[in-house]
Amino acid sequence: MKKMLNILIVLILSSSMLPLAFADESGNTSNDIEIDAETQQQTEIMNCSVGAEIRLLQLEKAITKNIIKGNETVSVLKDLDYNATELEAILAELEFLLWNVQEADPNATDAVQVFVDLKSDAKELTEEFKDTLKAMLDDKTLEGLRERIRLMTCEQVQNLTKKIENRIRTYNRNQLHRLYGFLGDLNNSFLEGYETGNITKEQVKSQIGKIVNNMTKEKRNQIFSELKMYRIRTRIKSTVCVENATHNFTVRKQLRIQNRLQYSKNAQSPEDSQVRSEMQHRMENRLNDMGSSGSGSGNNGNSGSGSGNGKQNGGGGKQ
Amino acid sequence: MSNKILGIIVGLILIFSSILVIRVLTNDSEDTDFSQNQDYSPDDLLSEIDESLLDENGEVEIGEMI
Repeated sequence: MKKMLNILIVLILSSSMLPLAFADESGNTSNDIEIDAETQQQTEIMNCSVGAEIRLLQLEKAITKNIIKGNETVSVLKDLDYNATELEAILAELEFLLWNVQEADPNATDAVQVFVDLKSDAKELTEEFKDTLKAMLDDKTLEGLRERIRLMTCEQVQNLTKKIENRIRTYNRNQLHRLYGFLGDLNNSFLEGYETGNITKEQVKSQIGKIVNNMTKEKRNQIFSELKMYRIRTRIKSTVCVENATHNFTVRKQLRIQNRLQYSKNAQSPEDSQVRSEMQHRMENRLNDMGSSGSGSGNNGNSGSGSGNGKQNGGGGKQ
Repeated sequence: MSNKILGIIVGLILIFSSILVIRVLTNDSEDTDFSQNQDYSPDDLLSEIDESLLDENGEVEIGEMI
């Protein structure tokens, strides 16, 4: 009877281990984060430097657009005699972030981590701006402002758009070069035409469609398998990079804020002293919150942005 | 009495091992949804090609300010 009882206890203990079989293997700690599916998918092209450059430029464009819209909003609020210091402080932080993105190196080994970190900062600051504004204005005024800035653009954004389009064409050209290698029908002048913008993506797809339709079943299956295998390999590489980017996320974030705070204290920034002190106050509050929650205290060796370019931790450069 | 307990233990072992086996098999089938022996239509291949190319107007979304 005693033996049976022992076996029963062992079984109960074993069954308590069962949830481990279902557990997520990532072993997340309080310093780590879950990265959303959209960001994960965006990092899939970052295995090559052109892909990394595209994502960093797209992030730069998104932040630039938001800064322009934010500045216009602040200007309208000031005309209406609102105190917009808090909004200006958020915009000043977004400017720091923009410099960090501009300085990020797409060739660095930690480019994915830098992208994930800076995109997360950009989303957070945008959300803060939105929430702060929402607390200041009623729905009708907000709608009026939204309409006013909806189609706002500027030369800076247009230049970025052109630059991104060019880089995407280069990326697609490289993909097509590999694909034509599988098809066994390489036409370099056609590819160059696409890269320079003389041939559209639709024209390229239509030409490939003709080749595919005249292909034998075996050849089609073979190319499909090659493409699929390539995509799986790329996805695995990207998953590893994203997995690495999730570790010590909070520690890196704390370090970024510390560096931006330090930079804002040292640099002769263009914004007025009230905005700068509000910005520093916000950063200090966030650092205190992170410190008190204990999430930033466990610096286990991978502090900062990692070993690649290390630039994102800098205050971001314009002296 | 001891037969009853033994029965319960054997039952529990069976249930746990079945759960684990099902779990492992489901994982395997999720990972291998593409098989080398399958035939693919021109549309399948074209859609795979399309997925390997980037949209020239694609953007990174960080949310709206208002």
